[in-house]
Amino acid sequence: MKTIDKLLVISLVALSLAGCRENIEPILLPDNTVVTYPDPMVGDVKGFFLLNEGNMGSNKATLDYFDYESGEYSCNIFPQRNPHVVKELGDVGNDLQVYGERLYAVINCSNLVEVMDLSTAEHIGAISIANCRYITFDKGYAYVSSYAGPVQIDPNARPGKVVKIDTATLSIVGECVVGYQPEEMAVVGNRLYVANSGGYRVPNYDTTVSVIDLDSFTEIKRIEVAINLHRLELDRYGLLWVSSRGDYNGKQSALYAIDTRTDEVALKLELPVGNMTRAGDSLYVYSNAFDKQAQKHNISYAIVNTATREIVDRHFIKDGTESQIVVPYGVAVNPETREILVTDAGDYVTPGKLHCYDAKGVRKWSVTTGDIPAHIAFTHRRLKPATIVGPDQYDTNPYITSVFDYRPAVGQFVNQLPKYESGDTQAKMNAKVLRAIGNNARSLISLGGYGGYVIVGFDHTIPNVSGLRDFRVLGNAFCNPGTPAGGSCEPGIIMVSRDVNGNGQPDDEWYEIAGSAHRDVTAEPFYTIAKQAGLDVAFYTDYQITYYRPSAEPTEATAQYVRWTDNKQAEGYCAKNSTHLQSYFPQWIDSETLTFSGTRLPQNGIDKSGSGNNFVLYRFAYGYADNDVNSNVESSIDIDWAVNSEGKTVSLSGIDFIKIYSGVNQANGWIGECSTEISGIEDLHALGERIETR
Amino acid sequence: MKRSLHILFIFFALTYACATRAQYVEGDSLRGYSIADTVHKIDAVVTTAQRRAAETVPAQVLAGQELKRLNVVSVADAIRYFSGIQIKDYGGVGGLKTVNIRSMGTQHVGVFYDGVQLGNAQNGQIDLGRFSMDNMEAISVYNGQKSNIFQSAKDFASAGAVYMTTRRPRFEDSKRDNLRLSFKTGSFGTANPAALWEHRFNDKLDAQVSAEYLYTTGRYKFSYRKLNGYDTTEVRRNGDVSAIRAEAGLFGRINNGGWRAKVYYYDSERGYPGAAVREEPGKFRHEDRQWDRNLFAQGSLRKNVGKRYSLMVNAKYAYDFLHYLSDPREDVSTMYVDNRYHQQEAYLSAANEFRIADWWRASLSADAQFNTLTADLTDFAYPTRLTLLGAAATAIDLERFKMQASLLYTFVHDHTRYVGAAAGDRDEWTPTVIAQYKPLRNEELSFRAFYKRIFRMPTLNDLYYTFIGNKYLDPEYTTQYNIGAIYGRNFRRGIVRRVEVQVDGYFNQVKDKIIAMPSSNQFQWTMLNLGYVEIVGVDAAAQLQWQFGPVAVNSRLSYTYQEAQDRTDPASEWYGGQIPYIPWHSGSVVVGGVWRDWDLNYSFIYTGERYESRANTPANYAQPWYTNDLSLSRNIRFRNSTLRVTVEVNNIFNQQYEVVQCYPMPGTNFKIKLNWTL
Repeated sequence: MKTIDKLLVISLVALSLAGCRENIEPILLPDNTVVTYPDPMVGDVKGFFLLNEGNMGSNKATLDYFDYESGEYSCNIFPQRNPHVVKELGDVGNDLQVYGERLYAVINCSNLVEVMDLSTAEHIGAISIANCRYITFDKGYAYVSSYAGPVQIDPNARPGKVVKIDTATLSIVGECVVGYQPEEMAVVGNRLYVANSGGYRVPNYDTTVSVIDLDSFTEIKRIEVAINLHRLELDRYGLLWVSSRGDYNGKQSALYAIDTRTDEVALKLELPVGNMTRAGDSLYVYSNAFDKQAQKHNISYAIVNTATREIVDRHFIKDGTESQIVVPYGVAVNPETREILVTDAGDYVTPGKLHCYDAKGVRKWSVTTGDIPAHIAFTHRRLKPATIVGPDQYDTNPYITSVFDYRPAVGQFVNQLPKYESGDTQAKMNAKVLRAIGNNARSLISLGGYGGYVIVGFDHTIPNVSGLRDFRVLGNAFCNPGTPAGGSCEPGIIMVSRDVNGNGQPDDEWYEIAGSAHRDVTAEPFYTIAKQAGLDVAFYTDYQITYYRPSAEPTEATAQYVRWTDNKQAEGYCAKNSTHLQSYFPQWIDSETLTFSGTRLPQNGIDKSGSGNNFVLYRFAYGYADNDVNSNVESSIDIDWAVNSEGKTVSLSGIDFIKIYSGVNQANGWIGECSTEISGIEDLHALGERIETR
Repeated sequence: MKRSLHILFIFFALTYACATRAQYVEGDSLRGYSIADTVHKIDAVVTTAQRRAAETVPAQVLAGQELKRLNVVSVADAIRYFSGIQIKDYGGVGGLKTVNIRSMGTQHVGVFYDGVQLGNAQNGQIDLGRFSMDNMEAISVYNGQKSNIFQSAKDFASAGAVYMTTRRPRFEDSKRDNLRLSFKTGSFGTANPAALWEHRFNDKLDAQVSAEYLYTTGRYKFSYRKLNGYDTTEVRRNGDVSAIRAEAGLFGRINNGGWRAKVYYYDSERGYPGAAVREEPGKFRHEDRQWDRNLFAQGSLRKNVGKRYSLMVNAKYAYDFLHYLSDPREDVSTMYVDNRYHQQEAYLSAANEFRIADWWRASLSADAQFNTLTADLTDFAYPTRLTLLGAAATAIDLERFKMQASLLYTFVHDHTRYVGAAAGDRDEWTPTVIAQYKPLRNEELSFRAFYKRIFRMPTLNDLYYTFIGNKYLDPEYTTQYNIGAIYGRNFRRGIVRRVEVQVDGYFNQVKDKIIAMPSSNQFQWTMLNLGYVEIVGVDAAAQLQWQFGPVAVNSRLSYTYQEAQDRTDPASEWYGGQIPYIPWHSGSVVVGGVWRDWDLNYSFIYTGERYESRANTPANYAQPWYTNDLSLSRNIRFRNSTLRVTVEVNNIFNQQYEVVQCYPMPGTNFKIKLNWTL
């Protein structure tokens, strides 16, 4: 019976401990992933926002942001930047637009338009509009379509309306009744065209486009088009393209165009339209009608030339990856690069996907989004980082506080990350590096190809705590899970040093962190396939490379750009590519050659396509910089892994300096040389994080 | 296409709401009628242990005093104390509450009211929140099926079952009338008077009439807070309910048998408070309303003919009406929806049992059911459904070994007003095998196992709901494997007087899961057979009875571990994710003490962390929740009557939690209950 008592007590305790809840839920932080190569040369379009609708009743409308310069995709940025907005963005995001320096999100089932600052995504205000659907702008006013017009005698025959908002005051200044259940709108000159759906009046759909005179803000006419109208796109010739959804049951969806000079329907194309977007003279269209009998979606893509008014292409995804999209749900085209973005809502109840294709329709990257990714708005402002936790938040500054040397090897981001400006000295460049990666600034610096390095210090000694990892190196690696895991892993070798002589300078003995390849290179998961692919998989501890300054700086892409030789009887050229045309040789260094030496890791980049357009850079198991996603445990290092120049394990009580150098000598086709990028180093103990060692 | 969105909403609303046809009745009051029997025994013997030991499938029962002491309002609240069960609760008195056994889905649960299944051809779900505890005498949950072969074919026809057994008349000594008046009031502006009258005409015939009225404003405060972020408290509105329940029954005895007949009526009006999502506070009032009317009559007859044959006949007629109204004149943000749904059901069942030998029995049952559904929707299909079921079963009962096998045949024929709109006919054969072994002659220890394969038909909504329905759907199949053990022991002295423990491990598969999936956009959904789920779980329950001098204490523990993984598409990023709302760990503790006329009861319910989507991401993470409830009762005895006064406090620590995303649950709430028995 004693045992029974005990059992009971144990069960009770177990139950109550089985999972205590945190008293107050924390704010959800964004999920950041570097999805593609950074583009420091980005033009006017700095990035884009993506609004995920979220399922009705789930309050899960979320906002994502992609930044071209860093190649980083951030999922769900709103809560962190707006912790005091009650219940976050809201329920069912239905439209997203940029106007001036603001971002407007129409949140349908929350009955409001959320207005944010474009460069911070911080809440400015919200305009409450019942059942709001889409938004467009003209001359300082926003126009929002809404299903919730005045209720008449027959509650079933309730028209919709357009609400006029003064963007300076965010106040409603007018309302204009239109047709039933209005959807998208377009401003043409001084008139606003509104597509009426009548979707609530099955089978008596609306069939008209309302035309509103913006001076008087009254409806002046209705243009008869077809049933259940939805999308509007104005082209460069005054033609307004209108989509009809059909009735989902016999009457097919189709594309119409209204000549806005005559306000008459100019043509009809038998092309089903789920969504469309225009860039230049190209109208990108997809359809995802569901066929009940066949139990599947009938998905189609097309490009319509608005000049010739013809379907010129039946596909805009050209690399055969079209079939990987389950349910296309949003489409956008970067007005500068003509990159195509297509979202995939998948099964609607789990996070969707965003796919990015280049102008030729070849997929560049994909990323997981929020639920039902749908609406994309490009921005000319780079989104500022969310307030980053600065060093003053901690008892001990966990971050880099000094940069002693920065000497990159040749590379496509050299002189860009950080940016070299004429006259910059080594000291100036060191200061720029500190500004980029010190004190948790989290910008990127590039170390260029093999050998390029940076040496940094801290305002305290990072202790070596037994059994725990001690510091984390932040980079821009991204990596898909799997065996072997790969993506863009550009490993840098890490060295540590203790300020034994106490002079505050890194002139003491250096010890190398012996990562997985240091211990057994053949045990790397990618070793076999790399060897089969004919890569140089040798591991050297005595490697030396010399780069030779080119006699002249070419102004366009060239294969034979910077010559290099090593001490293993190999030589070659670094190439210059067309996307990065600045000098790849560090400009603040005068010498004619650059020589680096140290350990050299095996090559890890394999061209999976065989034709040079799909390089996967595989991850080493552990112990290197820029080799695993920042949030993964293998971005953290245990000082106990340090070895001396003879490869013997040393026992260090702590370290004061860290040196990181690019560890692989390999050019990976169009993505360029394998170059380690660093965005910061963190003392885990100062942060209060406990990460067990391997 | 907000219209369809609304349709969708209503679809789901119905899926509950109307599903809720609070229904059917009927007293299983005859000897030999499994549950009534149970209740009887419980009253007499106090403990539920023996009878559970007799059960060869995992079964859990709450009955008699133990059930009374829990002071739960609805059947759904009582079921939360069982292991292997999840209750989906939309919050408040009026919020939908459905039960899911071992993660196979609500529509796989058969819910029986006094022995006859509550049907809902429209959406296959029963709102257990609408079944009052006022008249309830026992609640039991069976995995697989009740291990009794003498039952209607429908008893074999679901993956798990909940049996509600209402009170049947009992008269002490020579009393000919029982009268009970009760009144409950407390938080949420609740008033709940009820009355029950029983009369004995003669030793062959008893009657029972009961009625109840419930009103609640459904208002309660709820808070949402984020660390270093917002902190808001709002009031749940439009959650009011007013409902009337009335039942009348006759209970007769004949030679070697008995019969009963019952009429049940339920009429309610309620508001839909809606999801608690972001909105400008106070600007839009949710005013959607729903009216339900449920009426059914059911009867049952059982007779033993000779020593070797018994016959049982059940019959029922049910009518259910639902009216849903969303009016923009009340709430400008909504669109006008005004729909009425009518369902009818006729059901007849005959079960025959043959006792071939003392240790060997066999049975044959045949059921026929006819359902109709009409609605004032555009292009509505007006479906009718004929379901025929036949079951053959046999049971072997040796001293230490028991085994049962049954085979169920189901035939379904649908008809619609429009040619070609109906799904094709279906016929299916599904088996069950149950075994139990008792290794020791003198110990209450036994091992058990069962295998069951069963399916659920797509509901009429799944197949025919305007826009959403999909007539090409296949049935959704479940396969269950279970092994377990049960041990019990009595002690003559000491503090612990009885211990009973049961543990079961199981593996379930759900194939061709019917799910709602948007077609071309968020507001255009359809139903698809898309989904495969594997469930591995352990259910454990223990019951201990203690005696501390004059104080008798009964305690009950339950614990469930479940890994319910979506294994539909190995290529999916979310393959293997725990399915929505299924916690890995859940459990409950109930401790009740009796001292003279005083009853004190403490209960604790724990639901561990879980996710709101099979994408097990931080955004979909749901925190564990646990509630602590306390109640104190006293019986005050008068000369010819007893007054029982109960005071209870629920969710003592005012935990703010959600069972379903965006449907906040009440914090601390109080109740006072008076129960006067004459």
